[in-house]
Amino acid sequence: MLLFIKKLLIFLLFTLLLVTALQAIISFRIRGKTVNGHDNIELTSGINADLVFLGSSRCWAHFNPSFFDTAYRIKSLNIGFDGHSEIMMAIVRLSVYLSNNTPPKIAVLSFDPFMNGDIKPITSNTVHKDHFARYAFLPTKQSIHLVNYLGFNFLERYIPMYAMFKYKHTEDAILLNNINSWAIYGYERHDETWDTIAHPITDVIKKKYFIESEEKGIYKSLDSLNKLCRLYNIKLICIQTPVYKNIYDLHTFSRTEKICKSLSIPFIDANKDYLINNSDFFYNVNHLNTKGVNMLNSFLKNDSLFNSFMSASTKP
Amino acid sequence: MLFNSLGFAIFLPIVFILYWFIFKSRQQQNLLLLSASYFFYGCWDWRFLFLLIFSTVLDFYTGIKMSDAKNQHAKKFWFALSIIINLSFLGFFKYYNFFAESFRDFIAHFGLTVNPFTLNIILPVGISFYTFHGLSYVIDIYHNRIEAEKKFIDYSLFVSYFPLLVAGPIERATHLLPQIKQDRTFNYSRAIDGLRQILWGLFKKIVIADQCAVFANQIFNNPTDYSGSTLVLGAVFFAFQIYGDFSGYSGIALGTSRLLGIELLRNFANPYFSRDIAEFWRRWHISLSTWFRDYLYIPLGGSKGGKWARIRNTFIIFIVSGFWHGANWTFIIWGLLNAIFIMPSIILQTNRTNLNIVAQGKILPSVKEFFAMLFTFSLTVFAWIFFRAKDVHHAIEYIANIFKKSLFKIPYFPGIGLAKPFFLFLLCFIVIEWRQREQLFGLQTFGHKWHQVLRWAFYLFLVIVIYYYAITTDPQQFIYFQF
Repeated sequence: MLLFIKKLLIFLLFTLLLVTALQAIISFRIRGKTVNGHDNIELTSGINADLVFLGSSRCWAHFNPSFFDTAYRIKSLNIGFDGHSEIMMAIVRLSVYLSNNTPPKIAVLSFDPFMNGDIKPITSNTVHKDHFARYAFLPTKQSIHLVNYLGFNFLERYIPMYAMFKYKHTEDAILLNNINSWAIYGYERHDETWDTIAHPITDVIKKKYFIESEEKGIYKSLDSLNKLCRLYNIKLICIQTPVYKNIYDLHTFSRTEKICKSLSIPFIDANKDYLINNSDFFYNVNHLNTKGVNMLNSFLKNDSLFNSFMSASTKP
Repeated sequence: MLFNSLGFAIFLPIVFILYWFIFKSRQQQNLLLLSASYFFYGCWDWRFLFLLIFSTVLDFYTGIKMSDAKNQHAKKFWFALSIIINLSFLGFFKYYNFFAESFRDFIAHFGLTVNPFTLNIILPVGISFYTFHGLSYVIDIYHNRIEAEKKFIDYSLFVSYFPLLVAGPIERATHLLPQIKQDRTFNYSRAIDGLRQILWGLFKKIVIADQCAVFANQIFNNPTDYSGSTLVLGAVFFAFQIYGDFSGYSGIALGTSRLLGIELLRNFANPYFSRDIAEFWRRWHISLSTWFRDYLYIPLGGSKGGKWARIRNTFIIFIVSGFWHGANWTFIIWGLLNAIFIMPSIILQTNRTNLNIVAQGKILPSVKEFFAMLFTFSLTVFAWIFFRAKDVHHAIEYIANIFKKSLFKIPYFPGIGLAKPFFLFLLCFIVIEWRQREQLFGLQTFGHKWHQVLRWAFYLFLVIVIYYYAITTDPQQFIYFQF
């Protein structure tokens, strides 16, 4: 009996060692790299930027860091979080960045009626949770904010390879097929124009605009972000990037401005007629393509508020 | 609690340690196993525990009454009472709605409308299995094959023993009760063998069955979207799914029981390596086939009453077997098809030709044996289409879509490219099962002659593969739980 238990325990120990070794080897292989072409903690941990962009996919697709690097002679970084329009996620992402880097001078929040303040219920299917599965096992102090926010469970945190297998990360991590995607542009660039036949113009997405009862939560979250920025002496500015005209309405889009004003956060609305009326600038109803991004850049370059904010914030 | 769940991975070691280290006397061990079995069953739905206990008490009591009966009349009364109540419960929970709906459909053919009372009945898991345990027990007492069990704990354990409670094997009192009533000693080789059997069972279930289920479900759910050749592949996937699922479950049950020093009846003996349908049925779900043979086929006269009686009895046994699987016409047609497939050998009395193991002592089968196995497998796969289909219309639609020009196209379905590593595992699985066809299970002697390091490396590899598929594939319910 004792021999049986001894052998069984040795076998289980070997299994544990093997799985842990596998986790270590894969972690070593992907260290400092992206496996899915998206931003992650490590890609940005070595980059001490003057300007960081925060927000959802609309941030990730609308702010081209190379433009700001050239135009303002600074180092900028887009750490927008695709699929997550919660301001809380922007706070988490900035906190993670701050735990790895020196604080930036400026933070730009892509702020619009799609944003929401509260934490969404986090499940296994939470958007892009899989991109961060690599950090779930034994989280470090650099990754713990994100691991907590994305709600990785006990098994994912303490059983080696569990999260990597569960979120189907293993093959990508071994083959590293997407390793270069992030490094090329530093943001999600879309060269294509909007195919309005395949993807007709609709306004169903308006359902995602925050409603009045949610304003309190948004106000609270934005205030928290502002306080975090102040703590690290970061100047925060909110920019409302363009949407196609059919989903734009002045009343809804002015509510964001109202919230920012009440918190004394500078706010710029880039929803100008010449930008929002032309479907050639979009790849879908609420995302700009490369052409649109260039137009947005030109707008910001000529915007007096933005320029004075930039020069004031980047003054040595 | 599933055998392939984290809960069971915690439950089994606790039971094992308490069983061998704390509860050392047989009575204590039996009480522990009974409590563990009720806990195991209660994890599904504690309400049905009362039904299980009622069924146990009924058969225990009627068994004693039959044994003590002073005349044949009284014995017959208690026997009939037990049979009627057992079958009534089974009939109510499993078949009530089927009969009510079939009656409504039948009446509708005559232009009449009735609205029979149907109920939202949940099928108690394992009811077909534990009812058959109880039935075999009372039938054996009635025919004076065994004495009635006088100890309630021992009898309850016979009915409710957790490794076999929800999906068999369907045990016999003559086989299991004596083991429950004798002292068990720990046997190192048997325990190691049990672990290997559990490992192989998990591989069959998690890697082979659950992955095949993903492909089979995809193809069966949209038969009109795929080529005939893909539909054939879908049916083959289901054949491997159901084999991996059920034989995997049985393997884990047998292995678990071996750890506790109790041997259960073998349920599968490499059925897809059969050279004819009769051999297939001697190798597939053996405990059910032999149950029907002993308690239905033989009482009906078996093969003694001439050709027509043999034909009639064969049809009865297969249709009842199909119906046992579920209250759906698809199962009845599946049973009927198997009866038709076996009929030539029944008529020609060649059904007991292939009693040995195919290509015994050889590496490969002869060409004749190979084609005989392929033909038998094809017939089985065809019948499985009915077993898997939602209803008869679905099965017919599926079969009709097979026999098109596209039957000769290369099979394709979305995700086939990602499935390449799985096909490798499937091939390895078939090779190992073939090489071990003379053994009780795939890993029984596989790799025994290898160096221990290599053998352990192989087992570790299996564990990692199981771990990978367990996490990446959506867990599928064991198919036979619904029966």
